[in-house]
Amino acid sequence: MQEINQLRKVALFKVILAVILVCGVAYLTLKFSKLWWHYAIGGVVALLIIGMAISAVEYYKSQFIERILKPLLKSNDLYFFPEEGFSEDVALSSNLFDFEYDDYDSHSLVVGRDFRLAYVEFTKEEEEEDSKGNSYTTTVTKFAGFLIVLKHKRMVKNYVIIRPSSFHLSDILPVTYDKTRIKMDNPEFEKIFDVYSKDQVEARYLLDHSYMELLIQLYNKADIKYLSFIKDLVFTKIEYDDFTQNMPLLTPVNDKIIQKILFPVEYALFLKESLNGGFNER
Amino acid sequence: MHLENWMYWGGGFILLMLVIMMYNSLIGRKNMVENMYGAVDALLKKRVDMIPNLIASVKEYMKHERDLLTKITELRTQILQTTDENQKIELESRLSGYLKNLMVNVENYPQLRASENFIQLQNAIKDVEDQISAARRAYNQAVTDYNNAIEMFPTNLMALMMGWQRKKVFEIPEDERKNINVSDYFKE
Repeated sequence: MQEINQLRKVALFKVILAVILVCGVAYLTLKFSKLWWHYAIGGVVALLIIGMAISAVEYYKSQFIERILKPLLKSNDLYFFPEEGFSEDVALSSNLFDFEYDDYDSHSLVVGRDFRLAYVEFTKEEEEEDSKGNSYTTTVTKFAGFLIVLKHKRMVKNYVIIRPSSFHLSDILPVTYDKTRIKMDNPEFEKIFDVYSKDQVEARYLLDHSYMELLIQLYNKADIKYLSFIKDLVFTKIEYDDFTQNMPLLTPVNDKIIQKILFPVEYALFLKESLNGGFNER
Repeated sequence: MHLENWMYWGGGFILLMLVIMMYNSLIGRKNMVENMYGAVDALLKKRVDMIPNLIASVKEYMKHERDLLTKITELRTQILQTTDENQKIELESRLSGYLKNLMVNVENYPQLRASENFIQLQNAIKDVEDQISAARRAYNQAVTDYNNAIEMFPTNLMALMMGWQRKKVFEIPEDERKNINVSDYFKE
């Protein structure tokens, strides 16, 4: 921990130094130079200084991963691959991302026994117009967080998707009928979740009364809203910052911060135990 | 064409679409009830088909339970022969009771409880029992949806014209509502 705090201090010092130097270079260039190539040299020097500061921060983050995260995860039989992630096909097959998007990115893969998780990000380019009528394109994040995939003891042949409950016109005006929506016989569960599946019997076989109670408890304890059961896998997602985004630069590294960074892993382990434990009890 | 005419045509078209949607929604619900009944029936048949194996694996050990085993076998034959739906449900319910008794009595036969073959069969029966319970719940929900649709406005008008009537739900025994688990009978 001391070593990483030392590296953090070095990175912070370089960032502060870079800010001072860039301001200094800008001041001197603007004050004393009148020739275009003076400005060009000033710009190049400023870029070099910024580059050095960024590389110091990147080095600190890579060391944080190598010296703190990887050993900590490995001690729990978990393996971390910062550059790897889920393929787009895997993410889409989860049925948890039913929105339009333009770009997909995934990294920070953690692999454990019977589970894996990775950071995924979906973005979309959207046209917007300002008050003067000029249109411009902005990148909107549709989802940024962790996709978690767990092995599940009970196999389903089709799929069973659980989402937060929403309004259904067919409940009050029976002019439409959605065959894939599974109305469950637990009013409390129905208030919280909507269930979708092609197979009415299979969905109820999976979600028996004790399992519905378990999911209600998980919703109350861990705010679980999305679950997708496909074959012997369960997919879920949580919106949370990537590991590197929570690495502190200004404040010292301590256990509390590491716990905050690794929250998605803890969450996935908790889910793995809870969702499969539900079957052990029956 | 005048605006007034457009409004008549538009209104008529919307009304027609609503009628089509209502009709399709009612048909969807009715078919779902029939599907779910079929699912329950298929699973009950699956359980009946497991009985010969169950009897074969326990009769060696459970010689003192000959009466119970005979009753189960006879009941199976009756279920396979009957075509009356109500009688079938009644017989299935009796069969469930006998099977539960059999599982309770297994407690007295440690050798049987240790048999690999029996353990597999016990798990298979438990699985089918769970599936039957799920199928009954699905059937009841389908019937509830159907009954709601034929009683709620405006679909009740169409259901009345088609002469559709309320359907009955399966009466799930109190112990089954508690999600009975066959393996509970084997706990020490």
